[in-house]
Amino acid sequence: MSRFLSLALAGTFLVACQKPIAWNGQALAKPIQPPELALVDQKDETLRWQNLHDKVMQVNFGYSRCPDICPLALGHIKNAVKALGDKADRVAVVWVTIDPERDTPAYIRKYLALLDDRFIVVTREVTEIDKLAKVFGVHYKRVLYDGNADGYAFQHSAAVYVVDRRGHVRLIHGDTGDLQKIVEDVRHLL
Amino acid sequence: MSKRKSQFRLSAVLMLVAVIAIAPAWAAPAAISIENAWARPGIATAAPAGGAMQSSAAPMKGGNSAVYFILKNAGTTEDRLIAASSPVATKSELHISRIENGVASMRAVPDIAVPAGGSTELKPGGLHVMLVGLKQDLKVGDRIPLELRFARAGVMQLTVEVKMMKQ
Ligand SMILES: [Cu+2]
Repeated sequence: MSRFLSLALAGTFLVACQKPIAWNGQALAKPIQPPELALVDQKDETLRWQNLHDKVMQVNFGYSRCPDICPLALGHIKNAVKALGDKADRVAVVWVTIDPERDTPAYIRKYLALLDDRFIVVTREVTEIDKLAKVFGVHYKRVLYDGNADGYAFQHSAAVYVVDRRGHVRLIHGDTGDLQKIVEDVRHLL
Repeated sequence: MSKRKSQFRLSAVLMLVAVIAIAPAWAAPAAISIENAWARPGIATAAPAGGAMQSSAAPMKGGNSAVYFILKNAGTTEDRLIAASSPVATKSELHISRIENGVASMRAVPDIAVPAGGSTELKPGGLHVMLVGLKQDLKVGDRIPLELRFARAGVMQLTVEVKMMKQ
């Protein structure tokens, strides 16, 4: 009886200890579960959010014709994965293109060959990408600017979103530059 | 005889003027130097087999890249980078990107100032030369020509290596 009580107390203590994690990123008060969407990846295959469960995800939105900030963010994310060492394979990087019109699966495959094949890129269906962006609270806007020979560019949320192993969006990292902070948060979720 | 001499003198003066006009750097020797230039990898076009969805007849334009370097000004007067060009891109633009309130954006700038006796760094997340509409793939290790035009120093040519981001 008393042993049971002490076990129960120890259990409560453990639970209490687990609770206050000092997250570096902005923790969502209520984790978001994305609905099942008809997403398509760079292999032009259906991508089910549920199939990514069991991995902690780093999610970022961008477009391949953004040659400065987007590869900078992807570089930081890549380094954050590398910093996990032997646990790196328990993390997935999901990059959502906000420019599927130009970032076709074939184009993305070629682009990734230059960067890192391990990224999973969501592309193809703009309506589904819009839904996903809405779930994450990502805003993006097509813009034209003076002297731009490229036709159009985008203003977009730059954050990295950390998703737990059950597929819930848990944390927002606005500053992708602070590698160690993201790595610490990801470790807590592994 | 004296007419001939004055003609000779005139042409000598004209030649001197011409030399100064072509190479203004002679007047103010090498005030601008360019260091640590590198470009990001990029792709020209998708593989031709783009799948059935690529139904639009419009040809796919090339992708983009960015070039970074440090500009140093040893002179006593401010100079400005006013234009860039490279044969590997349809157009080269002077750009700045920034993240404001969590939103990333990019815009063209008319010039990039280099203070007298100082330096200006073009680096990821800030100032860059954007190579718009690549005509060829830029792979790590490739070397590409870049021409920079300055308000004072004139035109400078350099070779830029394609690299992954230094970390
Ligand atoms: Cu740019």
